[in-house]
Order: sequence, then structure tokens, then C-alpha cells
Amino acid sequence: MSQNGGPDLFSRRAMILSSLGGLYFAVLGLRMAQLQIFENEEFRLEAAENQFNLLVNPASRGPVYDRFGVPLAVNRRDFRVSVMREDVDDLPTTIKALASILRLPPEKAEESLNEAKISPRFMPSMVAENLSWEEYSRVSVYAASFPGVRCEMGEARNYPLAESMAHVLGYVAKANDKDVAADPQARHPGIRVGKEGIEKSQEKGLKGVHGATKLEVNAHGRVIREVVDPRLNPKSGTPIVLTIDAEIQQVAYDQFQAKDKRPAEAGSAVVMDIHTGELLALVSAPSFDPNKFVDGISRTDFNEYNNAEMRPLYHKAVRGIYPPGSTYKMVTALAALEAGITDPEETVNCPGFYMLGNHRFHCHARRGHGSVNLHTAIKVSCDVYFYEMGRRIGGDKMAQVAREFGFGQRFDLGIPGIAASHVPDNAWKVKNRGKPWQVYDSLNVAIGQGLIAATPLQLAVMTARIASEGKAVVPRLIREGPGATPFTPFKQLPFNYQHMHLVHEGMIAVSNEAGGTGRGDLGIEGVRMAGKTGTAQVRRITMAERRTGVRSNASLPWRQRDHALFVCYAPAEAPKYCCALVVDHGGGGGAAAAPRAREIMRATLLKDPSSKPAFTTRAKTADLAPPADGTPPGDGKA
Amino acid sequence: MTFLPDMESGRDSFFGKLRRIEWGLVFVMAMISVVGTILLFGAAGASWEPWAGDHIIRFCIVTCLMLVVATVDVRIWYHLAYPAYIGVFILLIAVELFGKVALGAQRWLEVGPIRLQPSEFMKIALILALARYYQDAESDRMWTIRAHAIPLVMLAAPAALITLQPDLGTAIMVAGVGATMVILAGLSWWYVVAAAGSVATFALAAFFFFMAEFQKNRILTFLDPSRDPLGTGYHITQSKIAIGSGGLFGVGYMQGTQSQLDFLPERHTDFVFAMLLEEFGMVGGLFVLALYLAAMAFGIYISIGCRHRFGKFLAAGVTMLLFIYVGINAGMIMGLMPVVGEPLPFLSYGGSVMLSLMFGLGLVQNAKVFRDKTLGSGFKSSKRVR
Repeated sequence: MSQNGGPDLFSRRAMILSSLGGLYFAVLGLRMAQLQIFENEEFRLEAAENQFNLLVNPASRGPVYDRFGVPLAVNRRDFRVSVMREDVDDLPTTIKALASILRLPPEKAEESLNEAKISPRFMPSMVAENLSWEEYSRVSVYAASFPGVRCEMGEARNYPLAESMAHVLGYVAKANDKDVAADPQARHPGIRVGKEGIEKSQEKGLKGVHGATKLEVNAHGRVIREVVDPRLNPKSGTPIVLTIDAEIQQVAYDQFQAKDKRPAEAGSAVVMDIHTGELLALVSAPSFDPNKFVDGISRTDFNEYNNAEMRPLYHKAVRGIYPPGSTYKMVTALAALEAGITDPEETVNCPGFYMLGNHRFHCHARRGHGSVNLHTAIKVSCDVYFYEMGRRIGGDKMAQVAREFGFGQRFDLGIPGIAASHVPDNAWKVKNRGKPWQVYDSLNVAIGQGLIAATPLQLAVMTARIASEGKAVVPRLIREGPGATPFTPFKQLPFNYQHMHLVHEGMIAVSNEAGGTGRGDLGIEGVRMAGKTGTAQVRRITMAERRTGVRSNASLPWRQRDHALFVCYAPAEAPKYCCALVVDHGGGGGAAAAPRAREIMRATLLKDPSSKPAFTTRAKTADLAPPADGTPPGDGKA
Repeated sequence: MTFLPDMESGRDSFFGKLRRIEWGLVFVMAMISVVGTILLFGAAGASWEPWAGDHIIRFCIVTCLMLVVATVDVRIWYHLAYPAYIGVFILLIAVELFGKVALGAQRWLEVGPIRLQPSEFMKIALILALARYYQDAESDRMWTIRAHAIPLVMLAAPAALITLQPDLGTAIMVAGVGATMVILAGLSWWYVVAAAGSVATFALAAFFFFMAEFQKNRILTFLDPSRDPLGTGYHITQSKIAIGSGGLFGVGYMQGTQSQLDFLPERHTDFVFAMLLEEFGMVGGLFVLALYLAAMAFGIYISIGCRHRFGKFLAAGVTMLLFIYVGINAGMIMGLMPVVGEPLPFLSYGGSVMLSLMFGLGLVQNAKVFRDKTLGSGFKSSKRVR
């Protein structure tokens, strides 16, 4: 075939086919380069993803203590059983078996099954928690025969004081979709997310840094080994020490509980150290059990809380906005003295009402107080006297003084939902009501009604600022840990020292002199209290009702009854602690609020928490410090 | 023409034949097998059991067999070509009628304790038969389709039967080897192009009308492995991860996480090359590809250098068979081809492929040993070799 002298047909074609083959090998080489050189980085990542499973290892949540180290929010050991869908052969059978071992009620078993069905394949889904050691060991024995069942010991949040601290601490609960979007690790069944109170606001510091267990797994999901990586160890959350004294908190909370023939009441109480601003008690009642939320509250329980008329879930002490009523009269009195529109000896005649034009403004004493000066006006809480003062001062001037006392200010305690309320003046009214300030507004605000509204916390701040002779006391809730604010000395408010004293005298009279609206003995030898009652109207009393006689609180539906308020400080001569207390729709401040506040104040004074050394978590690290002489421990032989 | 003394005398000593064996090719195949043994040793977690020991022993045995095939007089192979083809063809029909179903395909015949896979033998039998045909049927009209009518039937019939099993991979190999031999015999390129076009058309038609579900899936997944990453696409995805994570120098012998942790499927058989690429990197991969290229270069060199057409076609056909094996497997594990489940000869664990290919390489060596033998006069065909 090689007539042309060239290679024969077979050889020619063999060379052509060989070249094509060589070309294909070149393609193979290029593909190799593409995968191994240019895409190497991505594939190495994918290989590592295959090789390792990261299991979230939850960090221990930071505990919360009261000022003396009483545990308020702690972690207790929790035995639990979960299933990992990826490894389970037959989910319904497995859950059914677990339910029968643990004697779970059928509806609980079904709930677990539904939850497990929708959980991600590689994320354990909880079947049962809070198991006893006996139940736990029983499951552990059987777990081996059910692939994908995991028995583990974890930590569960617990609130030993339950109700009394509920609003301050808030609670943790299972992460919802939003929490998971913010932090995918939160999906882990051992992790809870702060939902309210300190737990919510200080979530970042409390939760610590979740660690991970790095497991090398093969293609079948079997664990080959655990990779030890110290960087993946969880870091515990930072502990928090509150300014609260759990004992006083409990006393304050108990004031609202049913006792003897007295029914349970709704309300709030705030106890503060006037020199440091530290809150010793911050109570809202009724309350709820935060422990119920940790494992997921049942719908019935939640509805019970949510629909209750007294609103147990609501943190009234910092969120509730009340007309301050007569407790506001100190502000009016000071404003009057500061404005120079009266002197302490001036008397105003109280016939039981005050005429503004042809409109009659009533005093709480229907027959009137007769001739009253400043001292008496505070003591007997004469409305007419303060109507007159309010008219003379005017809204804007009163508002200016009110702001100095902390009204309208949002105090950051490190918990969510603290209300600022507002201080009404002309500008405020124009903006919010569309009408300019009228004289009757001044009259109403002067007695703490009408447009003025405040939170119990603000009333406590007001009282502290009065008691401290005009220091701009700022409340604090967190002593140590995340959210703690360092103490800075309070600045002096621009009020005349002597004016302040006149108000003090009036408040002492309220609690101690005959005719005082909040008279009562503290029961501590040689210690007097200074206070001011308040009865805040929540409904309008019509002229017709005035004629036939004002209806008694008891005959009204609960929601329409007056709020009972009381603010006080003690000891009267050298003030140390103050308290503000509101009984929602409790009736008269002298009858419903003052005795309760007195009880709280007595407990506070007897314990005198501010004079005792407070608990600190830092002490522990100090104990571990090497001895001062520098000799390492256990170095005796050398 | 080279006249070797003992050939002139008509008697050829066994040692003379051994001396003419292309030992370079034997060496290359041994190298590949040793690399395979090393890989299989690692795949079993540093153990000779269950693969590495077998592999190297089998290689030794089939090498001996190869030497026998190489030294058996070429005329005997020439005479056996048609009977072997017909015998294997009958076995293929038997498989269709009585074969064992395994993995959704009828591939095996069980005769007592022996398990036969006739499609494997067909690759060699077809090469032998076509080589004999073209030895006999030399003319100056080889470009016409008529000159290749019989070979085309000879390759199409078994390919069709194997497709029915269904074993598309083997069918393609049989058809591919046969087609290569037809092209080498001189069929006009126009026909080749036209045939390629109609094969493509037929393939599309087959995909939509004749293919089993798992075959369709293989092709769909080849086109888009992410279509089903944990199902059908799993193999190829994991294989690509293994290869890609290897990098230039590999992650180290027995350090491949993909291979050692079972993510790489069939790491001792079809995906052994992926394991090699993971553990020894691109450098290792190119080295092994170079070994295969060397083996094929020997094959082509022997083919061209052989004086008789029987030997030329034998060597070329077997070389083509080796090329198809390597091309399909390497292309598959790198995601260039659908997963067709063909091993990489001498690297993958598995006896039958090693046996049949080594038999084939024995025929290649035979074409070298008897390169100067004149086939033609004195045989059935009286056509003269020009």
C-alpha cells in the first residue's frame, strides 16, 4: 500500500487515531489540573465538611445572683434524651419505644414526634427532658439498640425564687425562628435564649461562647474519633450580680399576696438605696413562674397568664404608667417654693372645693381642710392648696421641676421595656392633644392627675432625689457583670436646701403627725419614716355622682377603682432607703399602699443591706492568686 | 526482511521467542500493577487482605498466562479466531436465556462453581475475529462500505446482545474496539463521520425509548451531578471532592479522608484512580497516566512494526481496548463521562478484566514475537501480502 513512498494506510490511520487518543489524554490532564489545582481550595473545604461533624457544645449560661450571692438564676443538671433524625432508622417506632420506656403521655410523645419530623437531619431533637437519674439510666441501657437516640447530661436554667424575681430576671426559652436566624447555634435543644428581663437584655454576656465537639465521621455517619481542639471549648457566660436583695424582694412581693382576709392585689414596689441608687427590690405583682417557660410553656398556662385581668406577665414597676396622684404634690410644693410664688407660712382656705371660673374642682375632703399652709397641705394632702399653687406656677414651670426629679426619663437598668412616660407642658399638649395648655391642666397636674403620668420606678427616683436633699439619684440594677454601670457620684439638683427641708417636714408629718394621711409606726425604736400617700383616680366622677355621693371603690368594677400609691423614705432624719409602692386599683393610698410600704421599709431597715459587704464573683479569682511571697505552692522540696 | 536464524530453520526455540517479547511493555504493566497493589494495600487500611495480596498474585499469574499466549504460534491464534468468536457469541445468547440477574443486569452464566461473564471474553474474541477477517480480506477497495459489511455485523451483533443485558459500558467498548479496527482497515472517513452522526442520533433515541431507568439516571446525573447529590450523583460528587482535595502532591498515602472514611464509593475498584489522585495528587495521577500512555505506545509500535495484518490488527485492537478502559474510567471519575462502572485495568481490584486484558496483551506480544512470520500462503486465504 505504500506506493506513494509514505507510510501505508494502516500506519497512517493508526497515527491519526493515536493522536486523537493523545488529545483525549491531554483533556484528562487539563481536567485534573482544573480539579486539583484551580478548584483545590473549594474541594478541600468540601472534604473537610465531609470529614467532620461539628456538634454544638452549649456553653454554661452565666448565673445571676442577688447582692449577697443568693442564686436567682442558675443552671441545674438536666438529663435528657434526644433523637438525631439522620441516624434514626424508623422515627415513629423509635419515639414510641422511648415513650414507653419513659412512660411519657401519648400527647407528649406525639408532640416530640412532630417536632423531630421537622427538625434538621443533623440536629438533635428533644424527646424528654428533666429526667430523673433512674429514668435516665433506664433509657441509656436501651439507647444502644436504637440508633440515633442520644442520652446526654446538660444544663437547664432554673429560677429558685420563681415568681418574686420573674419580671427582673425574665426567662429563657427555646429559640424561635427569629432567634435561629440571628444565631443558628440557638437551634440546639440544649440552648435557651433569653426572652425577657435580664436574660434578654444581657443575653450576649450571659450565654458565653458556645463550643463545639469536632467529630471525625465516615460516610455512614459513624464517629471515628473526637478531635480535641481547645479553641472549640465552650466559654461559660459571665455571672451577673444584681443590686437586688432577694430577701427584701420577697418581702415586697409578699405584700401583694393574699394574706388572712386580705385578697391578693396587683401592683408594684420599688426599694432603693438613695445614696447609691441601687435597687434593693423591684417587684411587680401578680407574677408568673419563669421556670414554666424554660421547657416550653403549655398553651393553657400561657393563656392563663396572658388573659388574666391583673396582667401577671407585665412588668408594672418599670412599664406601668400611672397618674402619680398626691405623691406628685412634693414636686408641686417645691416648684411653688422655687418659683417664689408662696412662702411656707402662707395659708390657703380649703372649703372642700376650688372654683376656676364656674367650674368646681373638688378636694378629697368633701368638707374641706379649712386654712392650710404648706406643711399641713402636704400632711393632709389638701388638693385645694395645690390647685392654687398649680394655678400660680403654671404648667411649664412645674414641668421643669418634674424633669429634675426624673419624670419623663427612661432609666436604663439593663432590662428591656422600661417606659419613659412623659412630662406634660404646653409644647407636649400641643403636640399630643392638639390644644394649648389651659389653667385647668395646671390644676390637675398640680395634684398628680390629668396629663401627668409616671412609672413606679420614676416615683422611687423622685423620692430618692427628695430624700437625698436634691441629689440626681440614678437607679441601678446590675452591680457586676454584663450590663453593669459603674457608680458615678450624683450631681446636685439646683434646689434650695431649705425648700427641700420644708418638703421633708411635710412628709414626716404624713407618717407621724396626727391627721397625717399615711400615719403609722414603723415599729423600730427611734426610727421614723417620711412618706406621702396618693390616691389616683382612673375614672371621671360626674357632677350627678357628686350630688348623690361618690361611689365607694368597693362597689366599682376592679378596673375602675382608684390606684393606691405611697412613696416614703427612712430614717426620716438621716435618709438611707426609699420605697415607692403602687397597688393597682387598690383604693386609698393611706389604707392600701402605706401599710404595705411600711412593712417593706421595716424589713429593709432591719436588714440594712447597704451596710453589709456585697457579694462579688471576682473574689474567687483573688483566692486563686499565688501567695504574696511568690513561692509557688508545692515547691517545698527545692 | 529480517531473517532470524532459528526462524529460517523453521524451528523457533521457546527462549528465542521469550527474547523477542517486548519486555518494556511487561515492565510498564508491572509498574501499574504495583501501584495498584500499593493503593489497594492502603485502601484496606494497611492490609494485604482482602485486596492487595490477591491483586499482586493475580498479576503474577496472568503475566505467566500472557507469556504463554505470546509464545503460542500465531497460526494457532489465527485458526482459533473464528471458533472463539462463535463460541463466545453462543455464550452471550445463553446469558440472555439463562443468565443470572445481578445489579439489575444479566451478565453472568453459572456453570457449576464457575461464573462466566461472556461479554468480557467478547472483547478479545471480536478483536481476534476481526483481525483474522482483515488478514484474509485485503483488497484495494477497502474504502467501500461493502468491504466491511461482515465485520460490521460481527461487531454489531454482540454489541446489541450486550446492550440487552443491559450493560451499556461493555457494549460501547465492544463496538468501539470493533469500529476502530474497521477504521484502521481503511473505511472511508466519510462513512466514519456519517456513522458517528447516526450513532449520536441513535443514542438520543435510545435514551428516550430503550434505556433502563438506572441508565437514564446515570446520564442525567453525569450532566448535572448536583441533581441528586445523595442519590445517583453521590458517587461522582464524592469522587470529585476526593480528586479536588488532593491538589498537586496529594494529601499523603493512606491520609485521604475521602477514601479512608468511605465517602469515596468503590475505592478499590471503579474509583481507585480517584483515591490515587486524592492521596498522591496530580503528580501521582500524571505518573500513572504516563504509564498507560507508555503501554499504548508500545502497542501501536508493535502494531505498526508487525509484518502481517493479523498481528497488526490484534495489537491495534487490544491497544484500543486498553485506551477505552482508561479513557472511560478516568473520564468518569473526573466527571467528564457518565458513571458506567468500568474499572481501570491493573489498578482496580478485579480478576476478570485483568485476565482478559492480559490475554489481549499476550496477543500484542505475540504480534511482536511473530512479527516476521508470513501469514497467507499455505493458509486458507491465498491472497498475497503486498
